[in-house]
Formats: sequence, C-alpha cells, structure tokens
Amino acid sequence: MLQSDEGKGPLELLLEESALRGTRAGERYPGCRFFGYFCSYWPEELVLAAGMEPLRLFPGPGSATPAELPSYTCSLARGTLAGALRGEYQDLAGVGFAHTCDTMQCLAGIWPETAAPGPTLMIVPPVTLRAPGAAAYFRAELQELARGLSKIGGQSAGNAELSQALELCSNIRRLAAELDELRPALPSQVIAALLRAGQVMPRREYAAALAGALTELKQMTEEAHGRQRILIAGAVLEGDSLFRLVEDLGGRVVADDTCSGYRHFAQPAGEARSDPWDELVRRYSEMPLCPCRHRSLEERPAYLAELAGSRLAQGAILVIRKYCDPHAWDAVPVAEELRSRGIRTLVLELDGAEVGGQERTRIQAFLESLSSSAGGV
Amino acid sequence: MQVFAGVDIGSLTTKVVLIDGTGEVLGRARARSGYAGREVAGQLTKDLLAELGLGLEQVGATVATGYGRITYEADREVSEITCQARGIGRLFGNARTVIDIGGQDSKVIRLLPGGKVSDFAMNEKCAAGTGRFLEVMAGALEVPLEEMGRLALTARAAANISSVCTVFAESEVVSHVAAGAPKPDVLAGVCDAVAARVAAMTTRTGVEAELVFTGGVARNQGVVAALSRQLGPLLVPEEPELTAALGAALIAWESGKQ
Repeated sequence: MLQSDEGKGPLELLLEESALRGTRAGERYPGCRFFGYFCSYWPEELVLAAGMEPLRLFPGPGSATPAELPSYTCSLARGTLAGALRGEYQDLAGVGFAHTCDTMQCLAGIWPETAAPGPTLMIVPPVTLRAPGAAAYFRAELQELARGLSKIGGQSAGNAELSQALELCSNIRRLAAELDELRPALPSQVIAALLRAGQVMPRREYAAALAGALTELKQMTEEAHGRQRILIAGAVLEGDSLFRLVEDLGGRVVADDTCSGYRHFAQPAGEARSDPWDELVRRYSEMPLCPCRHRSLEERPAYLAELAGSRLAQGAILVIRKYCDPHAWDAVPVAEELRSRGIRTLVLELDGAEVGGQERTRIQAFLESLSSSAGGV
Repeated sequence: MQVFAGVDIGSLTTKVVLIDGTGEVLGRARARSGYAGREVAGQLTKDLLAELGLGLEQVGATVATGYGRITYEADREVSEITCQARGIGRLFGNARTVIDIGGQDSKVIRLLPGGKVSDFAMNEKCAAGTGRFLEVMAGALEVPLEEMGRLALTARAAANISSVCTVFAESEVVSHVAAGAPKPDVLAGVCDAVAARVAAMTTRTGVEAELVFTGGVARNQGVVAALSRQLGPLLVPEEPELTAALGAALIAWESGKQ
C-alpha cells in the first residue's frame, strides 16, 4: 500500500510512478521488498512468488560514463551502473539479469563487486526457444532461479505461490492489452508512461490502479484524425520524449514493440498450461521475440509487419540505442520486411531515450513524407 | 501584391527566398547565422522586402526550415528534407536523388516526381562529411574556405585522410603537412574524405539519376569532383545554399493557394 496517496486518482498515481522510475519505491511502499531486474525475459512471477516485488532498473536522465565500462557500451548499462554507484539501488533485496547481450552479461559479472553489495542472480533463457530440449532446460533454469530468489525473499516460491503470481501477472497483461487497444485514440506518451509504471511499482497496486485508470482513459479517448499512424519497435526507452515528439509532430503511435513498452506485457495466444512451471516456460518461450531470442529467422520481421498491418500503421520507427548490437543487426531485416510490405520505415539511433533537434528533423521529415504520400506537404 | 517567404535558418548561414503569387522568385538573401539566426532571418526578410518596395503586411505566408526553424515565428515549420526536395523538384524536374551537404549535417534524399520525398538518410551525430569538417580542415591548413575546392583541383595525388572522425582527420592533416605533402594534395584528400562519407550514406537509400548536389558545400569544386568520381554525373544548382529556402517559399505559396 502506498505510504501516502494524498487522494490521488489512479491515473495520476500511475503517471507519478512512471516519472519516478522506481527511485523512491522503498520509501513509498515501506512494506515491500523490491528486487531489481533489467530485461523483459526476467520472470517477474518468480520474484512475486518469492515474496518480493520486481522493479525494473531504468537509467536516470543525462549521460553517464562510469569508468568501469568501456565507452562503447549502451547508455542503459552505463546509466544503470552509474545509478548503482551513486547508491540508488541500496535498498534492493538483490538484482537479477537475464542473459541477452554481451553487455548485460558483462554488467552482471561486475555488478556485485562494483555496483551494489546485495545478491545478484542470473538466468540464461534458451536462445533458440523451440530447440529440442529447450523447454526442459528452461524449466530447470527457472526452478534453479526460484530457489535463489526464495532464499533472498524468505518465502519458498512453490507451486501455490507461483500460481498466484501467474494469475496476477496474467491479469496485469490483460489490462495492458486493453490499454494497448486504446492507443489510436489516446496520446502516445500517456500509454508509454502507464506501461512503464507497471514495471516500477508493486504489481497488485499497479493492477488495481490500471483497472481504475482504464475507466477514466476510455472517457478521454478521441479519434486522431489526420495523424500519421506509427509503429515503434526497438530497445528499452526509459522516458517518453520520443513518443511526445511523435505526437508534437502530428503522429500517433498505434503499435509499440519496445522492450519497455507493450512487448514487455504481451501475453502469448493459446491455452494456459495447468502446471505452473509449464505455464511460466510457455509465457517466456512464446511471448513476442526480442532480437536476442529466436524461434525462426523470419518470425520477428513477420510479426512486426503483421502488427503494423493490423494497426493500420503507415510508417514504422525502429529505435536503436547506440552500441546496442542486437537491435542494430535486427533492424536491417525488419526494415526490409516492413518496406517490402509498403510500410515506410525510419531507423533511428538514439544515445539514450531522450530526443533532441537532430531526431526532431528526422522524425518530422519522416512524418512529412508519410503525409506527402497521402497528399500533404 | 502578395508574396510568400521561405526562411532557412541553418547552423552556419541563414537564407531567405521570396516568391510572388505566381510562384516566381522575387528575391533572395543570405547572411551568417551567428548566435541569433532568428533575428538575422527577420532582418534579411525586412531588407529584402524593402528592396522590392514591399512591406511585411504583404507576406501572405512564411514557412521556416533549417536547424533554427522552431525558433522563428512562421506560419509553419517544415523539415529541411521536405523543403530541399521541393526546391530541387522545382529546379530539376527529373531529379530523383539529392545530396545536400550543409554546415552541420549531410543528407541523401530520394525523390518522387513533384519534389516529394520517398526516402532519406542523414549523417549521424558527427561532423564528418559536413561543412564543419571542411571548415576545420581549412583552418588547419590556413586556407580560406572558399579557396579550398579550387586548390584541391590542382592536386597531383590526393592524400589519404580518414572519413570517420573530424578530430582524427585534423591530426592526419597536420601529419601530412609535417611530412611535406603539398597543400593541394592534402586538400584533395579532405574533399575525398567528405565525398566518401556521403557516398557511403547513399548505400542506405540507393541512387537514381538525375543526381543533384546542393547545400553550401556544393560550392566547393573539390567535393563536387570527388563526389562525381564516386557517384557519377552531378547537377549543381546555381545557388545551392538557397534551395531549401526556395522549397520553403514554394510550400508557403502552395498553402496560400489552398
């Protein structure tokens, strides 16, 4: 329960949590123990089952250049390590890494000694998610992680606890899907902020607040006539300035496949498994792919093209964080696939999540070119 | 008489083009942007109107473009990519690719008929391949910027200069000078480096004839020659630094017609 909610409505609370990025989580929710994590492949359900709250670590504003990392690492790694060195994560029960890229692997390696003294856990999900033996391996890896989290949380993450956590997360994902459906009729930056809030605050509070906010949001919807409909895909975005800029320049983000956006919440289609461990494996094996995971070479480009098509997106912006190799390599086939289906595509490299004058020119020109093909400028 | 204004506030120079109600150019002006491109643009517009015996009240619409476009009080701000495409579309009806090298950035724009943008690529956050790169190198070689291209054309063998980084390239220039390389050879190497950087950008968009080279750097004959060697024949507007302002004026005029 929030220490002092001062009569805030659910929408206001969620926007506030989003802006805080979890920086005051311990103070605002004194009854909770937070466990930090970085990636959408980190199984939040296990943190909850072990009696803790998952808190995604996002870098703060501004550039950071901690001496422990080479200059060619992404700003997500540099910014979070700098935050840890400033003591921002002292209250966390521990920090968890899912193996995605070399940078995250190396960050996990140096974190315990340089960043925060608490425990550090690592999970390595299968890279090829449907490879023979992948499900059995993943299940064993998740159970090993559960044992580690149980020790830290002081609560055994058994079947009953995991089932409850799965139910809570599934409910949140249903609500997030409802929010995602409202995109065409709501300002892009609001949806982005509301989804980020769901990664930095206690999950029961988030579910309750999001359910309340949805009622309010449905009354605020307004058809975005004349706006260019855009799909945004790419890496973690810890702020909303890209979404705000798209809005300012006359666009509307109608589909989002960013790591910290809707991809984090997307629930795979299909019947849930009765065994909670099988269900956990199913969710993380079948959720929409990030560039660090594979089911087949063509799946991610095809998925994004279909997502763009289903939301009637006129253009796509593929966001690459500078020095993020997985997204940079991925952008080439994704852009080719989208363009082959008639969806104009802009590959946009950002240092962090903040956009400036150069990005404004690129996005403005891109939106103008979409408008031009529709008879505009 | 109603006129339409295109104002291009670039990082180095500010340009203004005025056109009349039939879309014909009435006048143009340019000056260094300095620290106050917005004020420079306002003064240029007033002076140009005065030269034509016109007043501000006769400006039907103004479109601002360029780096400083959002600072200027215009009826509309449009990106320099769209304006450049429109300006080049007016001057070269068969143009399908535009290379624009300005003070702070470089762009490759693919055009549809009518001066509409089909695709574009821009340099990254780096001065390599821009006018600023040339300015730094001109300073290092103590050659007036406007003399650079002419001297480069007299080179016997272009020196090898990095196309990747302005700071490293400046060190290379100093090393070549210290090793006794003739100045024209070093200058030709600098022009080749800019051309190589921009030519690499065309791999993202492709190149289709006719190819137009515009922006302030298109005045540099050394870069024109180097780009031609890499990409084939180039068309260069008579006043390459004014084409984005022309495009802005045309968009203002089109909006006035609607």
